[in-house]
This record gives sequence, structure tokens and C-alpha cells, in this order.
Amino acid sequence: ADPSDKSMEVMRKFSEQFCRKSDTYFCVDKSVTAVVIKGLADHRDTLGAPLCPCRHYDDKEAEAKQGFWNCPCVPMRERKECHCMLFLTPDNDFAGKEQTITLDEIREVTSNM
Amino acid sequence: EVALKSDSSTGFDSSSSSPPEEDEELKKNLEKVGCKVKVKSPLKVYHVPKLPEVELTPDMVGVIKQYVGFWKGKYISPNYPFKVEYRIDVPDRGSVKLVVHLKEEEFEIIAE
Repeated sequence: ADPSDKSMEVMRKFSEQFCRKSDTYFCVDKSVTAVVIKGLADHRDTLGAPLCPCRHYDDKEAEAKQGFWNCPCVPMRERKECHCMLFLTPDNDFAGKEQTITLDEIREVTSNM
Repeated sequence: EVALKSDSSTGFDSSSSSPPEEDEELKKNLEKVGCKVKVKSPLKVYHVPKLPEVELTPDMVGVIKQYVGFWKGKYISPNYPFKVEYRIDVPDRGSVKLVVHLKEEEFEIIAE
């Protein structure tokens, strides 16, 4: 099932705000951004927390409750390391120039997934 | 490989956080809590309130406060599992507490 509209909007907004706050940018390929935001929204619905969608976990519930990999994860907060390529520092080769993404952009990319 | 589950049949209470006796590596990691450490090479962090960035350097001493790879009886997968506390001097603010997560390869223990 697709994530709820509510979670999609919450995670979209959060991503834009955190980009500005951390001085990072979305990927030059916005489909990367869209897929990660959708994954975060899905985890927000199913686990109650935006657990990073780009990793494998043996115990998702425990991970979501403990919080290390809840977005923004500890490596992102402390070191600006985001292996998902959702938040890219300006010196990253894949960093675009944008800190915004619309719900339509996300839907367009992820509609066939 | 054996999956270690916390349930009453193995003598573990799922609500407790006591580690499985047979996991030597976990035991070693938990024993590092309380140790004084220093980073092997400089590390910039960006999460200290009101400071754009702070660089941890090998001359600064921190203390391991927690190992977070095992949490409430469950294994989890932090890539920087050691929570280390530093105190840094900030002009006009005095001594400020700074907590940073490190992985084993990034620090050396200088005292137990």
C-alpha cells in the first residue's frame, strides 16, 4: 500500500526544512529524493517513526524505537553524512541546487513503484 | 550463527537489558563504557547548539558513556555505536557538554 497523504506531506516538508537548516541540497536527480521521501513516509505509517528506508534491519521495530536511524539519523545530525543521498553537502558531486520538492514531483516519480 | 532472542525460555526477560552471556564481542564493547578515549584523527561535527561546527582533535579526551549496539535486550545496527562525551570550552559559555557517536576504529582508549 502507498504511504498516507499525511505522512508524505509531513516527510516532504521535513526534508525541505532540514535541507535549509543543515545547509544541504537535494540530489541533482530528484527521483532519488522522491524515492527516499516515500520510503520515510512509509516507515512513519508502519513503524510510527521515519526510520531510514535505505538500510536493512533485523528488527525494524527496535531500531525505530531506539532511534539511531530515524531521519535525520545520528550520522546526518552529527557529521552531515546521508548515505541515502537525500541531504547532500554542496561539495558533493551529486548535489543539485534545490532545497524544495513538490508532492507532484514525488508522485510522478514514485507512481509506478 | 545463532539468533539470540530474549524470551523467558532462555532465561532472559524481554524487558531487561542484560546482554546474552555468550556474546563475547558484545561483552567487550559494553566493558568499554567508562573508558577515556581520544580520536585517532580530527573529526568535524555539526550538531552542537549555536556553533556551526566543532572539530574533535586527538588532544581532547572524552569518556565512553554508552554502547548502543544492544538496546533493551535487542541488537540494533548503529554504524557509530559508541556514545562519547566531551567537555569543550566555549567563549562566554564556559564548559559545554558535547556527545558524539564514534565507531571503534575512530578512537583509542587512553585509560580505563
